[in-house]
Amino acid sequence: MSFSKKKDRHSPTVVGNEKPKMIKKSRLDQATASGLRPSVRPASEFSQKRVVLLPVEPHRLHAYWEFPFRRDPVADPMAPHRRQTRDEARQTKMILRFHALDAAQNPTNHFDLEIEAATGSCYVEVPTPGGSYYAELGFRAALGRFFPAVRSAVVATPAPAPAPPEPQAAASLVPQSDPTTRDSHPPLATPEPPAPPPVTEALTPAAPPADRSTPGAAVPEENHPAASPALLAVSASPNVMAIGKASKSWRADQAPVPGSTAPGQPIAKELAPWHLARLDLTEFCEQRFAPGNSSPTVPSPAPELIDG
Amino acid sequence: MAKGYLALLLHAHLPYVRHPEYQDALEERWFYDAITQCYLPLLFTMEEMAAAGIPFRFTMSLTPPLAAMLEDPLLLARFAQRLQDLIELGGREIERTAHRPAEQKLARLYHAHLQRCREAFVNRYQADLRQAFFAWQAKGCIEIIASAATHGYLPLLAINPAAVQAQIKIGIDSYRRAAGVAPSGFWLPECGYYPGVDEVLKAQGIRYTCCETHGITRATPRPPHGVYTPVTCPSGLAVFGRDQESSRQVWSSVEGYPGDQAYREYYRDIGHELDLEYLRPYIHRDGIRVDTGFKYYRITGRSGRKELYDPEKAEARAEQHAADFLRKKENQTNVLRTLMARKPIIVAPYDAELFGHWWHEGPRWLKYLFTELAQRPDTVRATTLGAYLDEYPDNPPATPCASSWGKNGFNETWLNPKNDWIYPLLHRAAADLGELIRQFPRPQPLFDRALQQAARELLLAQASDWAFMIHAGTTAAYAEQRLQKHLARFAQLTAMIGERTIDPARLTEFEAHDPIFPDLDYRAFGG
Repeated sequence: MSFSKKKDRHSPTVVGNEKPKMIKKSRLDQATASGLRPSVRPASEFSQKRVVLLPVEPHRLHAYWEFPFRRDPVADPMAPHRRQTRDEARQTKMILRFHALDAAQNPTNHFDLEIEAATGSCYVEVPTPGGSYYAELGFRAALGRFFPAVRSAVVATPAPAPAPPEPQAAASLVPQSDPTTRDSHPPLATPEPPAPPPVTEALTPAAPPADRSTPGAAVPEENHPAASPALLAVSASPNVMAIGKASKSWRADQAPVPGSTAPGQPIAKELAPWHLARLDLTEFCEQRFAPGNSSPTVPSPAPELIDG
Repeated sequence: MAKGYLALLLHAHLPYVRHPEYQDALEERWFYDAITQCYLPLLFTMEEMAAAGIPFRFTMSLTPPLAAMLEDPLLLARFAQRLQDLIELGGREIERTAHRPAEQKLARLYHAHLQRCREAFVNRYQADLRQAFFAWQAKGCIEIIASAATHGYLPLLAINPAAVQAQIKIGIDSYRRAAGVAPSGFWLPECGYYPGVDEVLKAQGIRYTCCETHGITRATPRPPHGVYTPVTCPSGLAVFGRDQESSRQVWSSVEGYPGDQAYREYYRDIGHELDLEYLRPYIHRDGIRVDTGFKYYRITGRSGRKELYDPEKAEARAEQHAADFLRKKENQTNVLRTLMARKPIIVAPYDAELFGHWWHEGPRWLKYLFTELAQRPDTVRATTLGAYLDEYPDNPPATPCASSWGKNGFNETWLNPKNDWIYPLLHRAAADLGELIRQFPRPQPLFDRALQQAARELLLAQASDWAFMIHAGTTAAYAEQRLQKHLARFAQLTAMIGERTIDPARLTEFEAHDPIFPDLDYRAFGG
């Protein structure tokens, strides 16, 4: 856990086993200093307190907060808390408390960041990528007691990886009773037949790019990932071909063709046609995913707008 | 009988840029250049294919800001003048290069292209390019899908569900007004998906959308076929995933076709190279150099030395690259077909402006790709996303993962220390507008107009383009200026409404400046 700057002053308190990290302070303070942004702020801004979480990526959240600070004791929302704790205002720390939620959306644990109200925002590394969180903005008294003032909505950071394969889907790759496949490979896969190598291993090595010194030359087919020897071996294996046949017949009418499943065998009815993939194409696609293909939505850089 | 499908998706979008207060606004040139370099060449390509009997099918988005600009009389009149100026420049270029035949040949080509653009724009399309695209949809050749009202990046607006609902509803209304029919598909700006947006889309009658690769691969439960079939959300919306191979082959600056040495160099333009006095009538009226579209060099290599552009060689290269692309799609399809119980679909979305503007030969590549597809129909067949769903309406159930096609695949292009100050302002403004709408359920006409204009200003501030430009740093000042302008006007309008003192002259001024969405239903912001 650390702030990228001023580590000594801003080390957040950690509760539980998780290690939060504030990544970078927002530029909101700089923006405000520029004098540009306050002029465009809606009239209601800071008329009420709030804290908002926004997911950035699987490991990171952005939080911003707005909090009315007035010394008028009547209007000061923290006045009751201050009285209650008998703390002086300067001894009270402003805290952003992040609560992690489990799959049932129940809080599991939390971590605290000590913040400064004027900073307005921060980036936080979360301990569990793909998890759900909410935050409370409040104050921690000198004795450690936390007084929440406002709570954010629950947000989830995106999943960092594909979900595990569904047991049902894995078990239904090939219908056990399908006579078209029964003879060509062992019945369904418990354990998985060792023959086909994982598709990710077969396909992951990217094809070398086309030789730019000979523009226009096609990537040789033998270099294409789909034509890698391992994959071709998989494609040509009796297992895959047999499965392909079974799949086609199932696709035709969304149900087993007559004779493809022995009477009384319920498995066919439970299988949707998309369960018949032999290899894990999702893992393949995930491995091929290369972020950073953001498209330039603006045609060309242009100088500043100038009055003609 | 083909074994699988290829679905090209061209996303046509420009931010809404209209400056009646200036006689010559640099940023409006994005629109003018896109017409001559991309939208008209795409239409020409479709005409050529139809005339040659080459069947073609692809999906296209035409965002509401672009559609609004394509029917804006002020912008169209300015474009016509700009086109006239460029044709004049073309004539002068033919004279200037008289002693350099190779260059003069290029000057003649540009001159002829610009004249063709003028003829088509004025006579054939009657200055209505939006309808020119929709005409191809009516013929069944392309499928045009809707998009968000001002290309708002929905995952970061979702803190106000009404803001997302307004972006989607007003975008669909805009489509319906232009096309006369409801859209089936919807392009999520920046491919920005988050769980929950599917319900809003489905409630608005949308059947399908598209997301980035990992939106599908990290869906829950895990889809069995990766991006090669769509998934069906719990709401019933179908979501297609982008194929990375196709993206890389066309888009990558390293491996992609557009970087080929034979293709035209984008960054060498006479507007930045010739004598200023010679160029003065054709650049910004204050003497600021701008791109003219007259580019005489090819990419050549990484060094600064550039050789003259050879259009015949570039054309041949485009044909080779189209064949290469199709060969790779065939390889992909052949393998996928053995692994899947149905015909796979390879979804290849690109910015439409890549074709012709950034990649000069892009429209020719498209033509050759469809030519090859017609000649080799046994493996891959072109389709649209809607047509694929017609054939395969039943798809694996899954909820896609939050994702975008920005850097690293999530939100950080539009949410980082350079541009994060935008969101408190946008969120607060959306909440304020919703509150005002609830306070004025049956406003008098003047208040109704003020609420409508406030919604218009907020929508324009929500465009993802501003956050992108601030992040990229290229036109950050302009983007900040636009945000400031729209949010300041929004604040003025909401203050006037709240104080019940509308200034009609001020309101009329705001309305005249940005007349996008004349029938805007601002109540969508009311939740």
